Amino acid sequence: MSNRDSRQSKETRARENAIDRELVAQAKKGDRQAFGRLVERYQQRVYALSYGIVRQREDAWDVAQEAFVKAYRNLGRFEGNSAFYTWLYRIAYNLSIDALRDRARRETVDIDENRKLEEALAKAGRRPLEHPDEMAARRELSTVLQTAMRKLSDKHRAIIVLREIQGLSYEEMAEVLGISKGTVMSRLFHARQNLQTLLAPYVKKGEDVPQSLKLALRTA
Amino acid sequence: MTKRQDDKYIEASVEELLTEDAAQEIAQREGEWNAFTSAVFARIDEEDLGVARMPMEDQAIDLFRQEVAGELADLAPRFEEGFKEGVEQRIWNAAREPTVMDRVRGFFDRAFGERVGWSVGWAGAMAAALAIVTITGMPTEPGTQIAENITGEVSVKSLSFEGTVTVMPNDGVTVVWLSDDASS
Repeated sequence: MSNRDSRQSKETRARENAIDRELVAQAKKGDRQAFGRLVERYQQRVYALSYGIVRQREDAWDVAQEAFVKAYRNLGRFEGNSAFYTWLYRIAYNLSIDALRDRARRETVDIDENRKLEEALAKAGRRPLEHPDEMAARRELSTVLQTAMRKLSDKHRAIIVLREIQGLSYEEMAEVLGISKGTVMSRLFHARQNLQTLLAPYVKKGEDVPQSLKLALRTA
Repeated sequence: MTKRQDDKYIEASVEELLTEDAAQEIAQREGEWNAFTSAVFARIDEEDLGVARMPMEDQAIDLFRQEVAGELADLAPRFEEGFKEGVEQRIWNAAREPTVMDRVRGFFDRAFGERVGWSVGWAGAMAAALAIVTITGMPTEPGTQIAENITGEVSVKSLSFEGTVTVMPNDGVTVVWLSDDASS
């Protein structure tokens, strides 16, 4: 991003924050429409965050709505020391992690998920060389990549969501997660490293991607 | 001002000349078009290769990003139809349900009746299963039942909701577990 883009982006964000502050102030006074506007402004982003973490449509929908309910009920405590959206994301993040814990208690170990990855890795590892079928290779690669993302720990997946999907800065991520900027950077590094490890059986280090997969990689 | 008769002739000549030039140029470069096309495809291939050489973890993240974007696109009508309304409904429902504080108050009202003097710093209604109540003159042995051991006037000094904490017998607090029907 050029300096100009970066400046414009900061200016845009500052304008957005000013609108949020105004809406929050009105909502605190009991203006439900103002809170409704905040919901409209952030519903998709909050949903994207919760979906990225919980990976299940109905749970994510539930978490996202509940995040706004919590925000509404605790609006009086929001002092405006941070941006409204980082505060809201923090609520959504905590609820998403809670939802995952609840699900884990219900489902115990997801054996199917493990088996799916192993099978996909095994297939994808040999299939492109034996059967250079681009469509099949693309499907397999897609499964491998998606499953690897799912296999990441909740915290690692969450940090990737915040960075890569929400596009938050390290400082903003630190606010949302309630950790230091250094920890954010380290966690992000480890998340990518773990992803690399999960995908290592697919492409061995130093080895080029098989020719038959080039298209698949481009379109996957 | 009258137009000279040869103006039209000159204009026509220019047009013809240009057309002829263009045709000649195209004809001369006929053999080069394959090279041009090849160059375009070479560039495309180069870009493909660049993408293919992206680290696998970046591929996975990119796909993940696409998946979330697809999910949002799928749900766009549902957002328009009812997300905000759903939030409003939840806020309304939540307002009708007794809060944890209501449940605690109900518990004490039932346990001590009018004897309890409430001087509580309300910490706000946070969802929690555990309330830690510091009560003056209350026994702190674990397992002690408030209702059985209370005598005389008691007053609640403070009330806090901690979610999950470990309370030791010497902490000077009494733990009250709230049952689901505490407010009923």
